[in-house]
Amino acid sequence: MAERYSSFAPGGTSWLLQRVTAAFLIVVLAFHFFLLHFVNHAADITFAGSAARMAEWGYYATMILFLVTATFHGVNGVYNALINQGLDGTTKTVVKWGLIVAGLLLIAQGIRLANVLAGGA
Amino acid sequence: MSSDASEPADAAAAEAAAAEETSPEPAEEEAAADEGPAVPEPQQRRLAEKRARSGADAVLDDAERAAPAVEDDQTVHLRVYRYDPEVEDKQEPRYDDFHVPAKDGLSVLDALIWARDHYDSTLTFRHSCRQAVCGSDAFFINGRQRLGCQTQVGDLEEPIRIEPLPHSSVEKDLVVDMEHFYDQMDAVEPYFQSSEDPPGELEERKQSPENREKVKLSTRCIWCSACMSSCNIAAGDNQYLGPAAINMAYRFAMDERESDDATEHRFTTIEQEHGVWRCQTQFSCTEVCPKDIPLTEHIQELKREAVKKNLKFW
Repeated sequence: MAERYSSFAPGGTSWLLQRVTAAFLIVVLAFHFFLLHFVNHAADITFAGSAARMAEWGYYATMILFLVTATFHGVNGVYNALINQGLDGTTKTVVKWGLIVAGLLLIAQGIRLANVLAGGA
Repeated sequence: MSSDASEPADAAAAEAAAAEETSPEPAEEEAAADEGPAVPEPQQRRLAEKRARSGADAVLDDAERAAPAVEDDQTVHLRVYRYDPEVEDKQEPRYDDFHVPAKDGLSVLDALIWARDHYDSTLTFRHSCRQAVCGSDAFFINGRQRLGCQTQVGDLEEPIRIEPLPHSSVEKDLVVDMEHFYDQMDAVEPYFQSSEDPPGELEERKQSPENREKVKLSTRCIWCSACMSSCNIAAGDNQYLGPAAINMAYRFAMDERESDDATEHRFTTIEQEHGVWRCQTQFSCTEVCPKDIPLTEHIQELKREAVKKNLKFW
């Protein structure tokens, strides 16, 4: 008893981050849908328009944050749903690292694309 | 009152009249209980919702219930799950039909006991106190976890389908293996712990009324396992502590008389990966709990506490 346990126990951190990202995603998703589906119809979205938006620092930062939080929320959600189904042992480790790698690849590709749109690289 | 009555008799009559005035009719008592502030508001809301829900799925409405007058030759139709690995004819699970004489106030457990005593003495099920305290007779009745003794036959649609609790292995007929459930309950050390001596000279540890109110509902648990059986997550993840065990941990973790190191020790168990974090707030445990314990709310509160204890800003 009374031993010092580490701050940020793994289960608790991911649960908290899942909730925080969920709250953030509600706001950013609403922004996304209003701007790119309701105010401007999807048919009217052009590459030049996207490039112009991405060139703005604030929009670029929001989209990168959107990408990172959505990836974490999705990957962590799938992983926890599988744990709920009784995922255990070696399969669990393989699935966990598979999802992490897939998530990192998605983020890398997303940032690469954002940079292209913003006019860099 | 006659004028020649003696004085003591008069006094006795006056007392009787006074007693009559002070003891209200049962209906008045009920009304008074409804108005009383004893039941907290959220619980009343939950109970009202629960009544409304149960009305929606299997309970007949008042008119339907009142219509068939109970007569001697009327019966209720039970359809009971039968299985016994030791008897050749029962190795393949099947349903047996029993027609039991209906009467007012007949519970599902009463009906099962009647069927066992009159038709088939091998019909096997657990029961003990018959008053929703021992937690032995939780069954899957008409597709929902309920206590047999607490469920009125008149409230159910026929045929009344009685099955063993889902998500546990069946030993025989309606008897399921409770070992895993008890293991999970033991894992949270469901007893008071403190490294500190009681304050003062006496052995007693006093609890404040406010703290008692906080843990009151969690102490109602009768270990019937209805919540565990209803939980989708517990069905898939065999290591998940389950609602009953987490509620038991809540009962002691929230008790202000436990010392800080004891509470910290409790949190190391309940904040494991298969502890509180597996709860997906489906509320199925809260819906089926025969003692109306707000299980999901307790689990959520422990999650919040665990996060608060672990958050560091440096």
